[in-house]
Amino acid sequence: MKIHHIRLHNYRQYLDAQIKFSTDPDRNLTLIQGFNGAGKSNFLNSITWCLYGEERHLQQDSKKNQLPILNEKVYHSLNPGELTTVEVELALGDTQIEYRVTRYANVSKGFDGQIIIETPSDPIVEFLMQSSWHTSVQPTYTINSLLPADISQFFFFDGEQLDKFFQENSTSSIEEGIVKVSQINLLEQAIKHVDAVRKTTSRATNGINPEVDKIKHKIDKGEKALDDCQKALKRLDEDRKGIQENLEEIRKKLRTSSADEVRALQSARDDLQTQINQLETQLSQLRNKAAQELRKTAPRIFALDALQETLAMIELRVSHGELPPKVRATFFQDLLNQKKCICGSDLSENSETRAKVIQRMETTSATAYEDLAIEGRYKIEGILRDVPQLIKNQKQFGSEIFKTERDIENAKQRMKEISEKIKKYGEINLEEIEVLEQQHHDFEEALKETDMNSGREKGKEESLEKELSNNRKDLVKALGEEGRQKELKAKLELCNITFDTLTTIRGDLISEIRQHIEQKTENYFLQLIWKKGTYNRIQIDQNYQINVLNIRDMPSLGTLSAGERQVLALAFMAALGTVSGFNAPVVIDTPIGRISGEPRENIAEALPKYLAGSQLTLLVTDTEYTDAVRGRLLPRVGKEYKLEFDEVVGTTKVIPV
Amino acid sequence: MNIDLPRSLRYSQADAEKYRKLTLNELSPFYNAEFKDVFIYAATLGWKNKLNKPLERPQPNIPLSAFSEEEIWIMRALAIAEQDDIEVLSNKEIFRVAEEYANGALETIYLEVFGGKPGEPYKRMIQDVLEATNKLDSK
Repeated sequence: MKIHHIRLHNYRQYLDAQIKFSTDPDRNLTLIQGFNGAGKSNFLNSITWCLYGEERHLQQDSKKNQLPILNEKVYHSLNPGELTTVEVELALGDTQIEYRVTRYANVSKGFDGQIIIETPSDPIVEFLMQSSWHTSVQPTYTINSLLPADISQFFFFDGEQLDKFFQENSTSSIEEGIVKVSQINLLEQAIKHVDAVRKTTSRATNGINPEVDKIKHKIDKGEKALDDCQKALKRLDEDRKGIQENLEEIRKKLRTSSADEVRALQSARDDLQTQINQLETQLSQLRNKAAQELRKTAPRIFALDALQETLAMIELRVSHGELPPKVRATFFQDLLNQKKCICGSDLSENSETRAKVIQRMETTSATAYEDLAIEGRYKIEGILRDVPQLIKNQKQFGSEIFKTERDIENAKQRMKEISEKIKKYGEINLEEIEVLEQQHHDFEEALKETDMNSGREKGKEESLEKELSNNRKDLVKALGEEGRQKELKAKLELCNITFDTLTTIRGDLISEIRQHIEQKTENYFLQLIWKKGTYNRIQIDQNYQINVLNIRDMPSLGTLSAGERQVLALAFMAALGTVSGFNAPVVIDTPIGRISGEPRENIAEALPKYLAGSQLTLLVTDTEYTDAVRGRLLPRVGKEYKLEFDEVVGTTKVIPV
Repeated sequence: MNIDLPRSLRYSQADAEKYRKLTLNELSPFYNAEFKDVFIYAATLGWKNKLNKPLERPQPNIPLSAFSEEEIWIMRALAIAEQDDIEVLSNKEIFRVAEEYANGALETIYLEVFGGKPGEPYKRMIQDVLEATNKLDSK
């Protein structure tokens, strides 16, 4: 799916503008350049407004955006009682325009001077069928089948916001992305529906017999407790985010403090925090590797005596000449096939000699363990040979883990010392610093407590789920085998099985998609990154923690530069878009705005390779769109525009370059 | 002449959840591993501590093809040593011994990981392996 053109009428900075996008597969990049405030973000907003009725990229702090959606010039020239419209039209299709989506808002000025905006809830969607245009009766449905609203944030996004994916606490955004792309809404609905049917059926068992009532009471209590527990977990998650934001706010103030010493101490603390994050990731990798080695080593050690005894038994038979077997069954089979013995005797069908050979072959088959025993001798020797090295590896991992844990402890100790120094500085020189540091300390403590409570609630959730599942099974068992009870029993049993199966499928599906996204992100990242041979793998684990592993398989997310992190973010977004299965047009606002110098040119060099099969539109600022960047992008540019904002008339002109 | 092998190895139906939790929970040294890793660990631990227990409502759920050749030989060695007879190799039921030991030791592993003992389970388990090695060295 491609955007062929967009037409804007009275929409924010745009009085009347039309932009044609490049649909050439070889030069599928459309570049729109503009100064800050020229209307780049509102251009992206116009797309999401037209399709979904939402302006998702409004800058809340911008005064301009607090104005109504109507163009400022038109807004001022409107007379009381006068009516006008704001309109955005998008033309979509593959090789030709197949869909036209138009959204409009009626705007009028009341006699008191107030602006009244009426926006119909649905856009108008027209589609081309058999050479004529038709209007969709379900426009939202049509749009969702082309570019689903739920996952549109992976096609239309702001490059400057991407970094949040890979900052601390990023796992929820990564999880959200993966779950949304999995498009399992139908499955979710089915799970909810089955649960609702189960509850209704379960209610119908009330009063059947005291045993059933007792179990039913337990289920009701369990469901309530589970609901409370899940609500508590959600609250704790929100609390955590709030605490993190407060901590970051305090750190920001300390980083920009007027006191040199405080700034230096905070900077040292930031470095230490990065170091701790890296060490903790390293520790988790080492633990995984040690566990992997344990799984390999333990069975060999635990079964060592059995292996040695087996080997001794085989060797004893070898020394007695019982092994290897002197004649193999296959030897007789070959003779029978050739119908002639090595001594020259005839072995044709029904011959007496043939019968004797067959009899001999069958006796040999009964001792077929002999071949296997000889194979086992070499295999077991190999297993035993590996044991000393495996033990050595296990010890090696043990000492590396010990060292990393000690490094983390030391770094944490240094963090404490820094905190003390900042507080002391505040005590002597600046009370505000002392207060800030105390708050910092309190929030860190609160964070630890929140994490501990979350862990506790998660454990509780798990045991409540298990208990509930057992009680539900007990309820089925407690129901009788006749009449109404039999019917309810069958229904409840079916609900339990269906619910468990759907939940398992949901988990398996998301896990499979997570692995698919991991693979795609890795492909895009390794393709885009300019430091070839430095990084090896991308990992997104079951907790949605993303990591970049270097060629020595060590985690390197913490050491990525801003440019490399941006590449990782772009790779992840591309993976989400691709895995979603929609070949959607991708529009990125300020893709490299946060990067400067050489890394910017490196990304620019890589960008033409980015999403090579999709239509790509980049909204770039003058500062990121340097000559060097332009030079690198140009071979793939199909259309290029400049946005020029006229301060006097308050409108933006779109000028083709 | 080839010896018939079972397509899958079995565990007790009631243990399915334990296998699942051991491979899905981050606390566990079997996190992200396969059921067959839990099985072979349990089988050999069961052998070491003589914990064999007959299966209840067995279900054949771990394909034999999931095990490496070395792991298959470890399981064969358990049966040979248990029966003190090399000719058990031609018996199709040879893996029953491993199944029963795995069945007996699964609970031990499960409690080691989720039993709430102080410290990290994987460290304790590594310690067990290293101690077993030291005992072997001193023999």
